[in-house]
Amino acid sequence: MPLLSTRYVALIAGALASATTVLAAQMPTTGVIRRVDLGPAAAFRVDIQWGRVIVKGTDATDITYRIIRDTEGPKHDSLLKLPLAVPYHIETTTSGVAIIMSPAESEGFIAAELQVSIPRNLPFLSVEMNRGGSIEVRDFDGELTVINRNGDTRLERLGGAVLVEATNGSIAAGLNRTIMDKPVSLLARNGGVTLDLAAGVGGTISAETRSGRVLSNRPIQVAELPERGRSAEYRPRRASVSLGAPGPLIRIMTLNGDVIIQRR
Amino acid sequence: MSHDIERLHPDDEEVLDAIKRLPEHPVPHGMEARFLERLASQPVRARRTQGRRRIAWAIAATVLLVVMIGRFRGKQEVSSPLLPVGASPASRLASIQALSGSAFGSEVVARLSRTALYDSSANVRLASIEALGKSTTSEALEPLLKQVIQRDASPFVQAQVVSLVVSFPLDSRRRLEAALLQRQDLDPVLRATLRAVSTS
Repeated sequence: MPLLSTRYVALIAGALASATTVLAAQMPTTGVIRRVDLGPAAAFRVDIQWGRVIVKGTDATDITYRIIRDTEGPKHDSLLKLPLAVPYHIETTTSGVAIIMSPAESEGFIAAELQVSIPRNLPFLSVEMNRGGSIEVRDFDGELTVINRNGDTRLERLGGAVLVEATNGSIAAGLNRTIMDKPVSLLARNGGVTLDLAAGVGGTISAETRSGRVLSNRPIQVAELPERGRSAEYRPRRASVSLGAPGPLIRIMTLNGDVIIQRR
Repeated sequence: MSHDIERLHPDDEEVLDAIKRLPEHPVPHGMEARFLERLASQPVRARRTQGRRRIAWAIAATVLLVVMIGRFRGKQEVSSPLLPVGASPASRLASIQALSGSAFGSEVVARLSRTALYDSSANVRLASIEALGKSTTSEALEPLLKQVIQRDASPFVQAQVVSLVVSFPLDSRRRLEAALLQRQDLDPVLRATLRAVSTS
């Protein structure tokens, strides 16, 4: 009987190994999406359930991607990353290109790290993390839309319009002076928002926290909204900051967390 | 024959008489009755043609008018500060922010109301409600906010509604606060805020 069990275990292990090899062979972990239309409506979309997305703008004209299986899940820093098969597909439609990673419920928890390089001047980029994980976008000058359900959002050196909705997680956004007349809206439900403004960025900041503080490295006027029965620490606070040069409205709202404005 | 006579115009009395006399009198000057009949119907045909022309002109004028109105409306839409459907969320947001503080016509109010209810981006819905709050009276805004409270599960939009409601007249404020508190998925921070400032 024990011999039979060992045989079964060996058979199952062999079948699993074969299936994994076949899947890995069918689904490359790296790829290049060529012929990206850089016209006024060109868009790239990432739609992922669990894991981590890192998007970096470059001067190249191709979109390249690398997908790493993240066996430890998105919340660990020391990840055990393996080049194993991750279910994903690439959609090319009239509105652009999308990498979609939505495993079926039967496939269970599959987290992945997706590293993407896109043309810096691509008009539209949309990143959506539907269940849990972090999003990072760097060096991008087009219009960025981020929806992150559970995880932190980190944005660096952005030069275009930015719209972020983060449900559970913080937002850290660094803006270049090139934003000009493009709107910026950073909304967080449970998490702080940190805005880092490069020198020369103009416009007006409208910052609001329902439970937290509004802080800045420069003097700002913060209005405290009077609320009966609430301690001073948890009163809503609102600040409107003029940056001294013409520019867009930069809206920051968090329901639960601090707002930090850093001006260089 | 009699059928054709009935279809003639009453003014053609001479022709009618001529035709009515046909059985009694032989064909004058050797003309055939059929030819005379055709001759007699000519004024009617001419009148019919004239009528058809008038109808054609009326249709053409109507079509032209419709086209002109359409073009005018199209120009209005293009020149409207709100971009047409299909623009990106940031473009829609920028358009709404550009409106902020100005007086709205009924068309802009209608568009902003639709945007506040149906736009796919919470950022844009929030901006619409904020813009309406700055330029519309609380009486005019209350029905819309009721719909927003019923429909919108976004905590950011709900937060904007809470911010607006606080400055409403007491009766209106009570109704909207009650509607907000009825939502099971209302954010705990907003619920605490409403309970702290509640007027009821």
